[in-house]
Amino acid sequence: MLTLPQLPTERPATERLARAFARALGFALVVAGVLTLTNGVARAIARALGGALAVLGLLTLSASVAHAVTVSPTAVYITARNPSALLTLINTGSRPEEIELSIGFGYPVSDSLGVLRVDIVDTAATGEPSLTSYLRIFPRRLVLQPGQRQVVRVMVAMPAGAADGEYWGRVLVKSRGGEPPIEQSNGNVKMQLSLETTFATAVFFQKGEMKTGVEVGSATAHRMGDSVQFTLDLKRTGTSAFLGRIRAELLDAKGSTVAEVEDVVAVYRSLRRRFVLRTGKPLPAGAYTVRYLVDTERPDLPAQGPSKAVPVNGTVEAH
Amino acid sequence: MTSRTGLGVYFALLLASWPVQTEAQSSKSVTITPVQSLSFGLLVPGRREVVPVTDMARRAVVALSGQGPVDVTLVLPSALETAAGERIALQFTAGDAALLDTGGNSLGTLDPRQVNRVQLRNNRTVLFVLGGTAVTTTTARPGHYTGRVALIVNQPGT
Repeated sequence: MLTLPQLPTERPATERLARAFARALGFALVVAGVLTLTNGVARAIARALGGALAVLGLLTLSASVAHAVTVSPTAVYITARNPSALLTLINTGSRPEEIELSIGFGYPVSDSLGVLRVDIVDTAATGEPSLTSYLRIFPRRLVLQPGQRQVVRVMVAMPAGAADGEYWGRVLVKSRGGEPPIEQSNGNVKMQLSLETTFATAVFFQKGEMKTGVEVGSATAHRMGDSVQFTLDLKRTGTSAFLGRIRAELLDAKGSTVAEVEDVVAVYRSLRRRFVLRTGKPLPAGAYTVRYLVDTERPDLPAQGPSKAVPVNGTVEAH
Repeated sequence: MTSRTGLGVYFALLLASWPVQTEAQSSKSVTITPVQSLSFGLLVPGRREVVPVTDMARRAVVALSGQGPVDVTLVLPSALETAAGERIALQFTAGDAALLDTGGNSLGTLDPRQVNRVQLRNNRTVLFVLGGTAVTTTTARPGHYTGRVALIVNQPGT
């Protein structure tokens, strides 16, 4: 028989207590502010709050998470004119965190059902505009103390004769935590299943004028019970990845919107996306149309980042 | 110190105790916190040991916080192995992952073999939990069995 240790549950009692206490304290602070304006009891309240803050501090310290890494930003754009960028890592946990940075290549692809995946590999296939050979990261390994932040420099050393265009890569920020100690029982049997987390930050390097766009290869809509399945085949045009969004609306015979869906999309080469438009109740009989819009509105990405493109829109009848 | 000054100091202390949240507003960021690994506990040779996603003590837990959607992909091992090649098979099926809020309430069941979209809001923490099944053979031999679950977080649409 083998035994693995049972680690603490994710919500220690101290953390629950600290959170509840923080809420109560916030409320008390508001009350204190109001009372201060109306009468002179603030001094007593301030004393009580002082004690409360000390307790809160202790509780928060003991309840803080053991491992946590914050990565910002989540996508990096670098140009030939300014071939470096910064990535900020913050240890928001309570223990030192060992972090390892590496470089990979991969972009979203889809299967025939429109299911997305990103296969990240060390070396890109021949013909891919890969950055992996030209990306430099400093430092590659670091230890972040609790509360410490570290800026990581991401640089591109592109050969002078490299062709204009957009090159792609990923910076992988790997950290390990929650790893159980090895425990053995019944002689020499030991087991260990570790958990490793990686944040994959997309890196784009742009050399020369960038232009992007998207073409709709096919758009179909099928009625399936109380919903409509909408499938869109997209193909990128231009010289850079199309990073945008898709918005689809289900219109009834009167032209009223009865359901809608919106999602971000990244078309590096071609992509199939499939959406299910639901109203939440049985769909009455009648003719339905899907109206779609594909544009480059991405407020979540750096403003100077993805290339803008002319929006593409259309309609398709649901069969 | 006057009462007003005292309150001012406490306001300042409270604000100062909030550094991470205020810094995170400047640009999109995501925090990943591995909380605990998957633990199968007692394994009996020749039997399957199932860790359901509801098993708080043994399921793997990763906390995610930030703003906006993230895609979570798991790289799952097919077995725990010793250096000599002895194996304890692992199985992961649809429904072996789930998303919870910090109160433990389910936000949905997930398929760990697929890319899962997780919507993060206002830096509130959500928990990505993973269960699984270990299958030992009757001839399982002593050894040091190791395996690794890799969880990859990626901003969707990039």
